[in-house]
Amino acid sequence: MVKNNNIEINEKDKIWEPTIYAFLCNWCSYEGADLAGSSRRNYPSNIRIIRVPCSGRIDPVFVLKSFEHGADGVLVSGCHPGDCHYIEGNYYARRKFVLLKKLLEFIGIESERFQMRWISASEAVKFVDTVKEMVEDIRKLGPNKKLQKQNLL
Amino acid sequence: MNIDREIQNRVNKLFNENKITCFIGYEKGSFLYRARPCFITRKEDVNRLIFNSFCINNLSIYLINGKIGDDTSSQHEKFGILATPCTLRSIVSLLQGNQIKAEDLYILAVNCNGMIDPYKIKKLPFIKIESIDEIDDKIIINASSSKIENKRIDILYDKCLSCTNELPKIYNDLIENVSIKPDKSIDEYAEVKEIEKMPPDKRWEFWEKEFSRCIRCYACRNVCPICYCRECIVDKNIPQWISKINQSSTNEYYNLIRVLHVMGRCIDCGECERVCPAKIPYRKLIKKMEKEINDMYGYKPGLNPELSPPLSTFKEGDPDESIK
Repeated sequence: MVKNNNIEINEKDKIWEPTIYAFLCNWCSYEGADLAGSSRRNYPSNIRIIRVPCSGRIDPVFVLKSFEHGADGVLVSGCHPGDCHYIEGNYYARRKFVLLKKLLEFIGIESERFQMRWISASEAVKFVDTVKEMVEDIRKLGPNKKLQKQNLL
Repeated sequence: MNIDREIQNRVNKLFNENKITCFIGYEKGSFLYRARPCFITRKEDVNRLIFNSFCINNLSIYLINGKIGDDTSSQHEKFGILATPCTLRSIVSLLQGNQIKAEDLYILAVNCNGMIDPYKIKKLPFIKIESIDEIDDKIIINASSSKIENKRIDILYDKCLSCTNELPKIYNDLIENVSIKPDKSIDEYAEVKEIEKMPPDKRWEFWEKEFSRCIRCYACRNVCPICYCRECIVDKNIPQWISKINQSSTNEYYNLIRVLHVMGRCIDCGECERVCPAKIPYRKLIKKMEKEINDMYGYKPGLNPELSPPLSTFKEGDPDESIK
């Protein structure tokens, strides 16, 4: 199977591996992922991390665009409510993404494909567990065909 | 009471008192079952104004700068507008978004009995119509050779069937029109619930089919009173968020973005669905989001200009069951 992002697919073996795009907030979730690395915890390499200043910076359009460009799942993660570095960014994000999830479910995207999590800088274990859980769930669902750009070549 | 006369008298008075320089209302369209928006700038033209069950257009769109022509023209003018409940609720959304100033506006509100969808009238003799009479709950169309009688409830636009006919109290003047009590038995979210019951793959099949018809004419955006961005995301080239290629994924992408952008501010005037040449059922998506917002945040759009739209505010205890 050929996808837009050809680094993800081992074309010789034709083994499909899920690709998960993760938007992580700089102050909590990205630090959490960093801690997971520095404390040598293993997590699947299916995840592509995109660092953003705050979960409030993530536009729902980014999530749709990720699906269009071949993501099998999207993870959005930020500080726990009340812990935002910018005081209230994650509260706005919460409203946006709860509604986005409802909309995606309504048009028929499986709810496992889009997840939102609160992960703080000290929760490396939670980050590792989240990634493992998501990869397992999406592996069961198979590759995402919905919302995806067709290859015109 | 003749409603046309009543409107004309009040607008005439407004011009005499120099309260407005331009009045936005409806005039007779090319056919008897059509009405079109008109701009009255002189007292002599006031008698063009009409109001009947075919005045479907949402007039609030003409209030937004940029859409009306140039910025300077509207800054010095004081507009009067004939506002049905739909138009009035859109004006509330525009006030919330600081797009118009209440003091530049004279709102003449009018009760509405629901608007008639000409395409729902069976065997409509399109050109030979001599007159259309509205008597109580019946619509009688007199054509040269025949007389067609329809029950009003059968030929209303879908959006009108569940309308509560609620008028937010922002108008300067109100014309009491005979108002039919809304039918409380109709569930406004019935269509939404029907789709919710389907399994995910069936839902996707349904929406993929609907969106595949989109020809990306952007009529839904152009007609929408709350799509007031000076530069729309679809017109942006750097970075280009939405590819110009007309393929199913970009169509889905465009339509979903539009829903995400209007949710919480959309008052369900149904103009996007009405103008869509591909007849994409936008109202189903919009109603779904309206339902979720009402369930979670207890907010109904277009009723109170003092409140902030749900996505530009928050509460600490907002529901977040889906976030672990």
